[in-house]
Amino acid sequence: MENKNTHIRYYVLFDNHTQGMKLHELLDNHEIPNRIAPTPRAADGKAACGMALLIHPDDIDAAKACMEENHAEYVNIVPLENQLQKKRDRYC
Amino acid sequence: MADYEKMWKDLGMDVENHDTLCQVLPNAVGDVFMTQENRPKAMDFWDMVIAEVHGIRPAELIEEQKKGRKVFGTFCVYVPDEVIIAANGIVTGLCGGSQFWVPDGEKVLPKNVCPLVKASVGARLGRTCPFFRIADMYVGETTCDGKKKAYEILGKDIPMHIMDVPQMKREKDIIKWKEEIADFAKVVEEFTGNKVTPEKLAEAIKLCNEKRKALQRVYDCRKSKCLPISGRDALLMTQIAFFDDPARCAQMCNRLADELEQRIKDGVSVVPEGTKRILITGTPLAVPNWKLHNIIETSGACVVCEEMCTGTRYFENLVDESGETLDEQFMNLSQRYMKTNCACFTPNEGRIDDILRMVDEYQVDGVIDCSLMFCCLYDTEKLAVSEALRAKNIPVLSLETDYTDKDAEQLRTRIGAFVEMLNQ
Repeated sequence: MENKNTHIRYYVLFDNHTQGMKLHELLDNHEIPNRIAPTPRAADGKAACGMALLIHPDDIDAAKACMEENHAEYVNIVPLENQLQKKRDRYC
Repeated sequence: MADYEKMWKDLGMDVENHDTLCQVLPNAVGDVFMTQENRPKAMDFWDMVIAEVHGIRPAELIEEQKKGRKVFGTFCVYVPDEVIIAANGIVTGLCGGSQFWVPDGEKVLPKNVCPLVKASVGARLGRTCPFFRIADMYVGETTCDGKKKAYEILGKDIPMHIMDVPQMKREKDIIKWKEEIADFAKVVEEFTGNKVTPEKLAEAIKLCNEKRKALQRVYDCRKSKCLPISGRDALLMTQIAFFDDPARCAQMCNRLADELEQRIKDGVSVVPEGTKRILITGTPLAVPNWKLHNIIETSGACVVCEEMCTGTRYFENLVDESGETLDEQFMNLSQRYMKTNCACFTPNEGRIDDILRMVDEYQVDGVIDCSLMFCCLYDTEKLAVSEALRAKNIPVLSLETDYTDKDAEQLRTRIGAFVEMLNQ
C-alpha cells in the first residue's frame, strides 16, 4: 500500500476554532474525510488559529466544492509535504 | 496556536520563548496522532483540545476567574479534586511533560532530579505555560523528595499549600490522610471564600465519580481482543482529563465509550489480529509526553493499559457516596485515595497485585515498566515488579528514560527486540 504520509496534505486554515469546527461539521455532514490537526508552523509562518483541518489529496476537490457551495468561512488552503512521519521521533 | 497572544501577554508569559514550543508541537501531534488510520470519530474532541492546548482551556479558566472562581493547580492524584470543586474552585493538573521546560527548571534544581519535577518548576519560573500562570494557588504533596524540595522553590513564587501524604497504609495513616483532607478543606474555604458543606461535597464526589466511571468505560473497551482504540489516543484522553472541565470530560469519555463499544460489536479493530498487547507501568506520562507510546505502537505492538497516574490510578475506585457529614465524607475520600498504589508508599505490594490483575483483565502479552530518570522510588521498585511478573511467566522489559529525543533510537531497538521476542 502506498505510504500516503510522505505525500502532500492540505491544511485548511482559520481565523478561530469556531470557524474551524463549523467547517469540520459541514464536511462531516457531506461525508468528506477531514481531520482536526494543529496548524503546522510551515503553513503560515506566523501566528494563525492553532486548529486546522487536514485533508487528503483524494478528498481536496470534493472539500473545495463543498466549501464553495456552502460559502464556508476559512482563511486559506495550504498544501504541505512530509508533515506526518510516525517514526521521526521528534517530540516536544 | 496563537490568536491568544494578547491573553498570553496579559498573563505575564514570555511569549517569544513560548512560541518555540508552539512551533514544535504541531509536528509532534501530527507524527503521533495524524499518522494513525481509522481513529474513533469521537477523538475529534481531544484533537481540538490539543490543537489549541494553550488557548481554549486557559481562556475558559480566565473567564471563570472573572466570575470570582479560584483555580487550583495540582501535581498528584492524591490531592482530592472533590474538596476544591465543593468550594466552587477549579482543578487543573500541572505536571510538566515536555523537555522544553526542563532547562528553566535546571536553573534552580539539581540535574539529578526527575524531568517531570524539573519541567513543572521550569514551566512556572520560565513563564512559558498559561496554566502555570493562571492557577491562583498550587497544591503540592509530600510524595517524593524531588517534589518536596521543588515545592519550597515554587512556594516563593505563588501561594502554595502542601498536603502531607502518609508513607504507609496502616489504619492510622488513613485517619491521618482524612485529617489532611479536612485541613485542606479549611484552606480552600478561606482561599475561595466559599464554605465546603456536606451537600456541596456530596455533589462534587458524585461529579468526580461520574468522570471516573466514564474513563473506566473507555479502558474497559481496551480489554477486548478486538482493540477499538490505540494506546496513543487513550493516553491523550487521560492526559487531557487532568485539566478539562470534569462534567465535559465525563460527557466526552462516555461518547467515546459508546463508539468503542459499537466498534467491538462491529469487529472494528485499530490493529491486525495477533498484534502483541502491552501494559505500561511506572511513572506518569504528563502531556505532551507521547514518546514511549509512539515508539511501542510504531514497533508492531499496541498499548492496551497504563498502570500509572496517567492511567488506571487516576480513576480506579470510586468514593463512597453515602457520607452525610463532612467527617464521614472526608473519611470516604481518604479511603478511596489511599487505595492508589504509588511507589512513594511502603510497602507497595498493592501495585504488584494491580499489575498482575490488569495483565489478566487486559489480556496482556508483555509488560513495559518505565520510570523517568532519577526517580529512585519507581526505579527501585522495578526489581519487585519484574520478579513478580517472571514468577508468572509474563515477559517484562524495564526501561528508564527522560524527556529528550536522544534515546529514541535506543528505545526503538530495545522495544523492537522485546516485541519480536513476544512474537516468537
